[in-house]
Amino acid sequence: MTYQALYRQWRPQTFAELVGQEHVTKTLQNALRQGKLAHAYLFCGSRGTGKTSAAKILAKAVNCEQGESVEPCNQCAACQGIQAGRVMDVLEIDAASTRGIDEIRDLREKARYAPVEVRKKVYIIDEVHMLTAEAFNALLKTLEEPPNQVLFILATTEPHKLPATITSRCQRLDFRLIDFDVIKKRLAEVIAAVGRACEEDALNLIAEEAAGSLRDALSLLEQVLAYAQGTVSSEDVLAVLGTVGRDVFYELTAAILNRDLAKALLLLQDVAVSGKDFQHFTQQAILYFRDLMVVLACGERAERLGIAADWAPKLYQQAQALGLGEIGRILSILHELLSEIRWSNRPRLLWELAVFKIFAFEDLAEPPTYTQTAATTEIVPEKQVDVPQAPEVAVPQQITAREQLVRQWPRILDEVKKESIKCHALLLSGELGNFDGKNLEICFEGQFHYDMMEGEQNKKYLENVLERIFGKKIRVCCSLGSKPEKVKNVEQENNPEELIQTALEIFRGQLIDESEKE
Amino acid sequence: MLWKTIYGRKELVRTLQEAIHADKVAHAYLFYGPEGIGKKTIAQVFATALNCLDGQKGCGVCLSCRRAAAQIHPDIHYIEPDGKTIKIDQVRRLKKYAYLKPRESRYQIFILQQADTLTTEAANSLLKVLEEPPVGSIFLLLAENLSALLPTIRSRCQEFAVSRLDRESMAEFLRAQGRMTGEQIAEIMVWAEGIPGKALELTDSQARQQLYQEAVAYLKALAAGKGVSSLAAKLAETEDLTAVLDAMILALRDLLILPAAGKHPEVLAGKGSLLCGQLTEKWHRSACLAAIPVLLKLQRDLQSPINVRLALENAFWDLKEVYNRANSCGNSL
Amino acid sequence: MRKQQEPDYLRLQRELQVGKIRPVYLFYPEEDYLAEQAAAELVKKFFPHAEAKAASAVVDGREHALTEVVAMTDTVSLFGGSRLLLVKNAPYFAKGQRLTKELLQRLLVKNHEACLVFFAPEISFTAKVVKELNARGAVFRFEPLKGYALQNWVKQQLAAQGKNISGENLTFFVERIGGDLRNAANEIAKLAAFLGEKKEVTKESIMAVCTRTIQADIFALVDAVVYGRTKEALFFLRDLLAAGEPALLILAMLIRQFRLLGEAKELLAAGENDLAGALKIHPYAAKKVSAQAAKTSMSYLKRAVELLAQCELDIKRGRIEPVLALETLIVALGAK
Repeated sequence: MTYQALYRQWRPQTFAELVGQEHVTKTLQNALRQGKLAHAYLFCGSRGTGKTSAAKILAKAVNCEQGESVEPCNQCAACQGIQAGRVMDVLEIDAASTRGIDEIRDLREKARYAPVEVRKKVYIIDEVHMLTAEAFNALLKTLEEPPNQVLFILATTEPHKLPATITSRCQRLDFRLIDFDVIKKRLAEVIAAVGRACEEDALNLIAEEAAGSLRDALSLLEQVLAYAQGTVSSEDVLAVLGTVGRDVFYELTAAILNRDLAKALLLLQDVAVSGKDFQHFTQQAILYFRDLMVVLACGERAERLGIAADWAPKLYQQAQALGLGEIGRILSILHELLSEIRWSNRPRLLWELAVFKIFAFEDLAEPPTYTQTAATTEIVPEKQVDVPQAPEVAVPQQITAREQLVRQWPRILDEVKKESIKCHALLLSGELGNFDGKNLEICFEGQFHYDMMEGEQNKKYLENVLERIFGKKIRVCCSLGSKPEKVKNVEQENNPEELIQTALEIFRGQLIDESEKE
Repeated sequence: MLWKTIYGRKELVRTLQEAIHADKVAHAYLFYGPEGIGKKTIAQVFATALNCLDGQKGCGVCLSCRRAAAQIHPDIHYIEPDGKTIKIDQVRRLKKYAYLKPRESRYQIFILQQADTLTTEAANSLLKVLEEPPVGSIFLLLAENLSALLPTIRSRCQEFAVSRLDRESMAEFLRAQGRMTGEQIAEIMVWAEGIPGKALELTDSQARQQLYQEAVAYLKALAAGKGVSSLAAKLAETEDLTAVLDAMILALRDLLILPAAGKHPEVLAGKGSLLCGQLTEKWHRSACLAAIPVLLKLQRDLQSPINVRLALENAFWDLKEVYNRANSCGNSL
Repeated sequence: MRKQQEPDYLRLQRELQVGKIRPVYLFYPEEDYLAEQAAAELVKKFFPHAEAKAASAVVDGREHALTEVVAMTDTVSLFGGSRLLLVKNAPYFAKGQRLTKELLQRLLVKNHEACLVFFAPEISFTAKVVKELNARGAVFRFEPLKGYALQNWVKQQLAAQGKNISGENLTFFVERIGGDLRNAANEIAKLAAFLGEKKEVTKESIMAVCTRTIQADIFALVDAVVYGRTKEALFFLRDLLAAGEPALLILAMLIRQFRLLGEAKELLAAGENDLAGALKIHPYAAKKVSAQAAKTSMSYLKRAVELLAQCELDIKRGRIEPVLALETLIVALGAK
């Protein structure tokens, strides 16, 4: 088992090769140049950002036989010995596995003696936050009075776990998450060097997945190169990751926006049929909606927050169409779904239920589209006399349609508000007139409002929203004069349905407010 | 070639094959996924291949492979829970073999089934041997519930999720088992949700239909106001109670998506023709949406030792309530 | 602006500059880095030619009685002539300690050949010996540096490394690195190294290498949120997380910051003039907080509290993954 993983083969050997941490390399190299190295350094940062590599390079640079210089030569015995881990004076300790005080005491003892093989002793302590309290105390004593011939390099991903007494005795260098482009470039170099090829999309996927860690990027690349045959495609990467492409979620969201339940269910079917893991799928869905939320909050460009540039405009569009409130609601449903899916054997079913929740169909009314679809389906049984869906279609559409409209009215108003605040305000000062499923009448008392609604874009806004929600073209016409009895009709239903109440409140309540504002 | 007996899961198979080929085999692996997904099958094939005398290909014909297939291979050990858990004595015995027993083959392999049932002390004991494994020993842990495993054990293993099958692979798998499925594969996929072990139990389309009809009958009865106790009693007596419950869930789900299923009847679990008339009238969307979680919970509860009849009664009362509530909100049109 | 007495560490510097060396020093090191530096300078002055470390000795006061310590100074040093003794953790000057008359005399008598430096973690100013020493000006109190004193010190240290820094950048730098001098010294060395040959400290260089305190980051985050710069706030969050700060800690500090904001708003509404004093924060911070308070309404702050509480619940119950919970929180806080 002596193979070397890709990320180890490609470990940077010089400061020049250490990518993405220019501020660190500059500091160290200047200090070397001026002979002003600190006695102890603390390298902090996320996994895979170069801490251990930098520590080794520094150890070499300090001890290089060519003289203490800004770059190790990597040719001399010292450099090569340190690289191979053969030099006794350069000690690498993994605090995660040897937390004990004995190791540190041992270290203190050894530190007293002059180095044997090289110029300076270097002690590299990785994941130093894992040390016990006693070990910290022992280490502190040495750091308080550091012997001249010793250089300490502490490294950790969790600096806040270190006692302040330790951190204050080190020069702290922060390793940043490596930029997307830098990772991509490095990956391309490695791919070329091993004589393989990779599609642009696939490269983007790997770089994105790495989330700032070069080591993770290279590990993933290794897996992908092992799996793929020939040129690496994005399908290969998705297969290795076991994830689904972003476009699936894009389509799902589009289905939600278009109120296309059938499409949504079919997408889930595809996932199920492909054998992909639904738990991952859910986690990815959450990330997708998180991306929508972030893109909306940031106003499109957000690479630093993990959103690839080529996707941002599309995501932004969808995010705007949904609105922050709706995105939040969907995320809520997905979080609940995730915790349920962990324990379930029927993840697809749970997802289907969640989709229903997302679509938030009212208990009774089903959007007209589907009753029509159902009526044409082969599923209609041969023998039965009463066609199952027929009653819903046959019932005078006047009442059904209008009822549906009333129930959807708050949502319609919300959508209109996003398109035009003016139109929204106008609608609030009007009242719902007749609706036969194809034509909607809005009644205005005042000429002024009537004119405003008739002219300009306002009617268009409403018609667009209606089309989006009901899936078909609905014509809006305005009339002058109020029709209070229509409003009463709705009231008389005496329906406990919350939504009706809300609609009424919005109608009546805001009606007064808006006129005050105007 | 034994690897061919694993359907789907191409990435996992390729990764394992590559590991053998490049001699990058780790000391410990963890395969996880729901019951019936194929963890044991994969572990067996992997173990067999590792010791296969023909270039570690997993040929299936050499002596080693044949012994492994008969589960009499001297260096492939199976550890199952003793009762409900894997106990420390079992781990101690495992360690004895691991450290002392001379190997005949290239590797000595230990397959721990249902590793998530390790008792705490057994787990800690196992941890030691995972940390410092004797040369030539490999541990394959199989688990359904990842979170029940000590994180320290998990971090010493290479973890692999065993994924569900896609439709083509499922069809191939069933065909290879001698079950011809043809166009029914879509329906089977809905019932088994990609789990091969489950699918095997469901290949008989007649049996499925029967279950479905039974389920529909129960739903009709509940809607018609039949007595909960008698219904619960009847169901409690049924041999394949879990299967009927599953079918009820699927029927309710079908009712939900029936309107949208439209031109795609393959998304349904059963014949849409069965879901007609009174059933669709009475079991409205909200009723279905509320009823399914009740049945899912019931299924979970039934996994623990409880009074079955009582649990069924409770669930049916809940269903009735759910149904009534949905219908009282002026659902009738 | 309060008229400040010259800090002791500067007084010591002045004395050393003119070559005045006392026989006995009593260092009271609340800020022990400063005291350490002072002692180092004293040693250098005392032994201008010799290898300082070899000629001075350090003992732990907890292990020796005072008589012993005094006796040690009688021993002629290896280099002949003078002997300087640093006594760390000297317990002799705390409350309840009494010294004999003879001992007191020995301490006060001028002895050109020896120098005793006591580092006393605890000092009782009612003790006779302390009073006497104080009267002679031998007691040096090393207090933590704040405000202008801190800024001056930092400027001095940078100058010693050959670097200049403008007033604005100095404030920025000091605010960023906090008041712990040992830390600050490290940051200064780092900054100097980063700058290399360049003499002028720029804002970019500070932002490039200086480790921010989490407090500063949280402050910046809340500032961004309040002014509707959600994108920036999300970046700050990301940096905090990348630096390894745990999500719950970030949340706790956000809660604290918003609480502060709420208090500030109330105080300002009640006509408070000295916000910095009332809230016990840096005047620079107070200025920003009062601007934030002006920008936010009471109802917004109420809503913020609800959102923060919900976020905490969500994370603690494991309902939402911590990073996403924080991002959602920030987006919600930034939305108007």
